[in-house]
Amino acid sequence: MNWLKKLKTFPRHSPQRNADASVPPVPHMDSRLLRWLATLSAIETLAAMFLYNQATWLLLPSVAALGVFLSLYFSHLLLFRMQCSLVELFAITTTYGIFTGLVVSTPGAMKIGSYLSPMIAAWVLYSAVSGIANATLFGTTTIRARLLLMAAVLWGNAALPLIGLGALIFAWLFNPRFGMEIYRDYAWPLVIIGVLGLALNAAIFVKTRRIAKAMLAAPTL
Amino acid sequence: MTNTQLLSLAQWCLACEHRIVWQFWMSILLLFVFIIIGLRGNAEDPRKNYPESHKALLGLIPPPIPPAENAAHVYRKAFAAVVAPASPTLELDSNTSRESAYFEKPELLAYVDSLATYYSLLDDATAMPKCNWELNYEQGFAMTMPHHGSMRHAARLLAIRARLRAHGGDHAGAARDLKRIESMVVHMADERTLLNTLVRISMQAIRNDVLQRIIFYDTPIDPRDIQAYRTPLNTHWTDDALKTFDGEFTMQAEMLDRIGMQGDDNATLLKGWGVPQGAYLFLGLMYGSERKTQRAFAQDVASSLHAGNTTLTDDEIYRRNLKGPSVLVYMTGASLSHAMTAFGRNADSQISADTALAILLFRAKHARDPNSLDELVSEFFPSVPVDAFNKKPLTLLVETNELELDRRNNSPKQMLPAGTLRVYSWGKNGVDDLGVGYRSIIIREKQQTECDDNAFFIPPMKK
Repeated sequence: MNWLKKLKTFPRHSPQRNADASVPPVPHMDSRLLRWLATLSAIETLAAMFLYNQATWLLLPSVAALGVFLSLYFSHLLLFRMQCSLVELFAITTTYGIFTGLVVSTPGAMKIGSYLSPMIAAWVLYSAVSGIANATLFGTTTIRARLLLMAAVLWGNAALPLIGLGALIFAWLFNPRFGMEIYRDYAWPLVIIGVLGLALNAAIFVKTRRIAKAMLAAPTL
Repeated sequence: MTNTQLLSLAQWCLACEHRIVWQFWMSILLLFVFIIIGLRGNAEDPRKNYPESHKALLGLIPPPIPPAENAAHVYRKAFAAVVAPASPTLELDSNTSRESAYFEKPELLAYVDSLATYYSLLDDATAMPKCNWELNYEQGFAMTMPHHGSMRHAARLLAIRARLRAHGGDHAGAARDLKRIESMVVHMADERTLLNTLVRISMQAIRNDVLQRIIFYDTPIDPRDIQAYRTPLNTHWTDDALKTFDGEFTMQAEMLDRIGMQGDDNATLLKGWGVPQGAYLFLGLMYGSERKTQRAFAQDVASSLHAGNTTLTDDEIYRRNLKGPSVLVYMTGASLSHAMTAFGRNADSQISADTALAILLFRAKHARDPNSLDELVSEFFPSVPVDAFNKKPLTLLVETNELELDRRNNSPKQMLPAGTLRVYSWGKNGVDDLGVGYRSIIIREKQQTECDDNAFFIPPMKK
């Protein structure tokens, strides 16, 4: 089962560590199998959405499978690897519930909202894991700081869609027949919020990357 | 957290191959999530609206008629009895407006003789007072109306027979054929879709065109013959437009509800429109604003027509009723200004034709042409006839020079002699374009795109 052992470990980043055969390899934090399954399942779900009229039956199982794989992957990370606190878990559940609830309870959007709910889960859970990981690497221990970092990453991950939505309103304003005039005032704020989120996320990412690289390069922690 | 776990965490934070893939589609789908949240304030539930809109749609179904009294059944028998012409040169689309010599061709006479059963059934059907085409309104916007093509074809065949009869001197028979076309138009009047009304208008256009040709090539002289060609004018054409638009909006509302419910049954319809198949799921996102716009749009059109505004502009009426993004309403909405123009022009054409017939009656009675349309007042009209759009009086013009007819179908060069009368309405623009614009007889004259008078020609009096 050497190949399985290899699969479970990461190549070490530091040349010094690589050169030192006595240092054991760094094990993977996440389940690689689940990560691949979730990724492939997401691709398959996206395809099922765009083939909806040809294979209606395909979408529901795809969405369900994606939801299951995402839940397993992130719950493994949050509960087993990171031992997230109850408050954090509560914040994650509440955030997911608010966004999914808003979408699913929109009249006329229940069907599409339920199909989009795994994607909301992916956004909230990934942001939570990433936020907690950043907090851990930064050495932050207070609950408030950890929650703020989770929220910052959540905001950052929504930056591109927010900028996209602002751009879409701008683009549709060129054609007055599309009736986007009533959303004109939202366009700039959406773009600004998106750009700020992107900048915040970039700053966090740069800092995380620097700390992570330093950790892996250090002979001992 | 142990040191190994911290190292794992650092490794995880640096690994990004999956994150790039995820960021791509997560951004696309989150965009839809934010669109839904953004449009939430405008949202409506199609499942709540559908029962009402479907009921309104079913309310468009004309009352049932017993089969024995239903002209549609006889029409269908007639359609089954039609035979195609043996020679392709007898193609009817453009030949109803040919010069009179065409109607002496033996093959045409033989073809019309071969249609004896067809004509007999058409005569029976048009004599029946009631007609119900029994269309399947449950199909909503995708409802098929297979009788339209056959009815137009029947109008053309009746037009051919009318020309033959008029050329043979049987003006009473020709007038009956034109009245049969009118009966067919009435038989289609209960279906309130715009497409149906446009087909009816096209059949009336065939009738008006043939009447113009008969007046021009085989001018009736006997006052009884001339009188036989006259039909009561539809002075309430805006009511017809209102009724049609109401039916059209009812169908559109039901269709929007169906799309909003994202049912599988509208996939064929959407495919027919060329909507990309991947977009089906997302079409319902703007449902709330679409439905609000559609409602405001329908009410505004109705109140505009009630107020007598017949020169609606699509963009103007659409923009002032927008209640948010309404792509589907724009995509599926009829071009109201074009439809109104078609309604008005058809009414103008009928008014011009009727005025031309009154001029012929005047000529038969006084052995001269009227100097102006004022001379027709009291004897034929209570006042000078006015056009449909702007209620401006029609104009009579006497051609002082010869005019050359536009040559079609390799027809020989033909001239309109000096003294030809041109009676015309000023059209939608309300400007006197000297009778240049829309007319059955195409003249080689300077035509400008903005000219939209509706003209009817009367040959000069034979000395």
